[in-house]
Amino acid sequence: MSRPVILCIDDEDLGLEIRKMVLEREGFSVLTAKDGVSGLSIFDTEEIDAVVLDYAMPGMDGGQVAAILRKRKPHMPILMLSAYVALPEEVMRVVSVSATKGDGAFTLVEKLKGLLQTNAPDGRGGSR
Amino acid sequence: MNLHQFRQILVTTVLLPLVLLLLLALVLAWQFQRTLREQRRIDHTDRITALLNELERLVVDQETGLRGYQLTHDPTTLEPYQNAEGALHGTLDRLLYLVRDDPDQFMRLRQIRDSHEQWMGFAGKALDNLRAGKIFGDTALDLNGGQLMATLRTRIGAMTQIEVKRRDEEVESTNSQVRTLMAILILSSIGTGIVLGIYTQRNMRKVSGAFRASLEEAHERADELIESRQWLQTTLESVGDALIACNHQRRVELMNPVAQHLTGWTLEDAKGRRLETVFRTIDEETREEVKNLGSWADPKDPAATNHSLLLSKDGTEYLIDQSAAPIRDAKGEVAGVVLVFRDVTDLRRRDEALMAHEKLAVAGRLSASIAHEIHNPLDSVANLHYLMANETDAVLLQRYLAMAQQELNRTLQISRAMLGLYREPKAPVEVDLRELLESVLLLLDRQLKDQSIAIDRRLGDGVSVQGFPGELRQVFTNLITNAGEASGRGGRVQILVESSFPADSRPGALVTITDSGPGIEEAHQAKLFKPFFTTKGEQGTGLGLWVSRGIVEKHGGIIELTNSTDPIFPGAAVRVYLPALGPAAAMAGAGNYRGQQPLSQA
Repeated sequence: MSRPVILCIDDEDLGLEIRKMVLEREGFSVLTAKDGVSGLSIFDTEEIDAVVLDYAMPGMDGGQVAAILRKRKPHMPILMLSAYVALPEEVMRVVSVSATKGDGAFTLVEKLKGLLQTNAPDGRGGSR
Repeated sequence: MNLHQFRQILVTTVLLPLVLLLLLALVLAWQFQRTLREQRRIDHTDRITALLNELERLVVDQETGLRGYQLTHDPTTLEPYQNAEGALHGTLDRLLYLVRDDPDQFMRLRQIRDSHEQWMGFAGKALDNLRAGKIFGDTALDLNGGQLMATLRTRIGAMTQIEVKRRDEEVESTNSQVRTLMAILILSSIGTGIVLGIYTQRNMRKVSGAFRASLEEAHERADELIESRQWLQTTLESVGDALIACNHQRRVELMNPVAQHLTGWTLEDAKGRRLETVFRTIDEETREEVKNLGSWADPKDPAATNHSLLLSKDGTEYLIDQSAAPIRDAKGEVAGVVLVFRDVTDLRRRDEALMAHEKLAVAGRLSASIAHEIHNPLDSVANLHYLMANETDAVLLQRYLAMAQQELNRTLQISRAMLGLYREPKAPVEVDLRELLESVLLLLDRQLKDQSIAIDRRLGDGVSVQGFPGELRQVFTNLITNAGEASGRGGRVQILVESSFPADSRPGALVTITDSGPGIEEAHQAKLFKPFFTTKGEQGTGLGLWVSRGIVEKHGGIIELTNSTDPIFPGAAVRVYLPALGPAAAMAGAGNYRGQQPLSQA
């Protein structure tokens, strides 16, 4: 089984780097972007299996990025990370699942794996 | 009726009877004169009549003497004739003199004289005959003599008759004049009496009317005075401010109940005492007794509205706001001083509570973005912990540890900056404005990033002032947040820190924060620093700028908000000048700052 490709978008340099290391250890292939615009261009050019998105970012925030992603690929699993406990309703409707920053790597990995499995039968993620 | 009219009435009341009596006297004198003249004429007539009688008697004497001599031939019998002849000429002369002004009588008298001379001619012939010895008389001659005598006596009688008649007329005229005089006297007396009576009564009525009117007016004035005193009394008792009125010697004359309550002195005890005894105040900062109350009367004196502590008689202290105004008399001289003050202790407490509340609100509003800022490094640390748990490679472990330390340091920095908003040293400390603004920006970082606001930092090195860092953080948090919100998503904010020498050339720092927002509406300009004024609706408390100004002024500084002229940052520009000396400068002479030229022109 080939490694699922995860796109991580976060404006926090160090946090993004650490998150990449965690996910790579868990067997994912990780692409990173520091803002919504560069994240979307990677999403358009690369085969992405899931997106891990930070909510609070300068420029386009996570909610806006998620809405565009959803438009382009309606079934794309999107995990929204946030330091805020509660995210706005409209954001929650767009994303597949959300996690709070500080919940720990284990929760992140579990949620991501769960997302990929749920999506496997549609024949996109599961083939790898 | 005024005093002049009253005097006029008095004068005429005295003068009119005098004038009337004088007129009466003149009329009487005139009448008296006339009566006197008439009397003289009667006397004149009487004298003429008497002389005519005398004349007749002398004529008769002559005739009698002549006849006696004719009968007796005794020369002694001729004596009356001779005597009368001598007197007769004198009498005739006197009569002629008396009637010289009356031509008729004068003529008659001359006829009498002529008749007498004719008779004397007869008498002379008769005597000559007798002396010649003719014993028997010449009958024709005697007859002629008798006729002459008869004519003479008839003439004398006629003249006498005329005089007697004239006398009667004159007496009648005199009597009539006396009657007229009496009538005039009685009538004019009655007339004068009536005129005087009516006039005096009228004037008396006028005077008594005027007196009654002025009495009523005096009553009315007295009522008005009582009423206005009542008004004043009620007003003074109902106003919420304390009020003390002093005379020109600064001795207490009046105190309203609020003043009595605050000073602890009853009006009864305070009346007549020196103002300084009743109204004892100390400076809020230095706690030194304020001795010079004199300057309060000068409204230009800034001390006139300064806050000070009022020491009540029972030792209670009240923070008061005071003002004083001189009372001037009709000539414009200072007759006393009115001192108005109010207890602002509660107001001050409210302000303090509001400021404390706003301080917490600033932190509260930041809490969400601060939580985010703390959650980010915490998330990294949690992830590193996960990596380290299953890692055996020492090099990797070392790397993870270093990363974890870095993230923890960041958390510490943020929590320190957060604490800096609360923790405050007791006395002012040296504050590096660059450091201070950096820490403020750290707290605001997330908030600004979320709004994609680009910050142009121009933080000069080594610019420091004495001050309270927590309070100054609060000021700049407010101002930068405002600038960010005004600029909106994607906006720009410039923060400039530089050394400055404002209008009074005292060294200090100038922090200028300029945004790219729409600027300040003219209608809002005057209200910007008022408490509870906000343009942010539900999002703002309207306390940010009010608190900021309070803090800046406490530091002896000035805060000013204008529209920017910079084309890159065309919105609002807020300038904060802080003197290097800090709050000490504020105490030394805050008054010097007020009313100075604006910073923008400095």
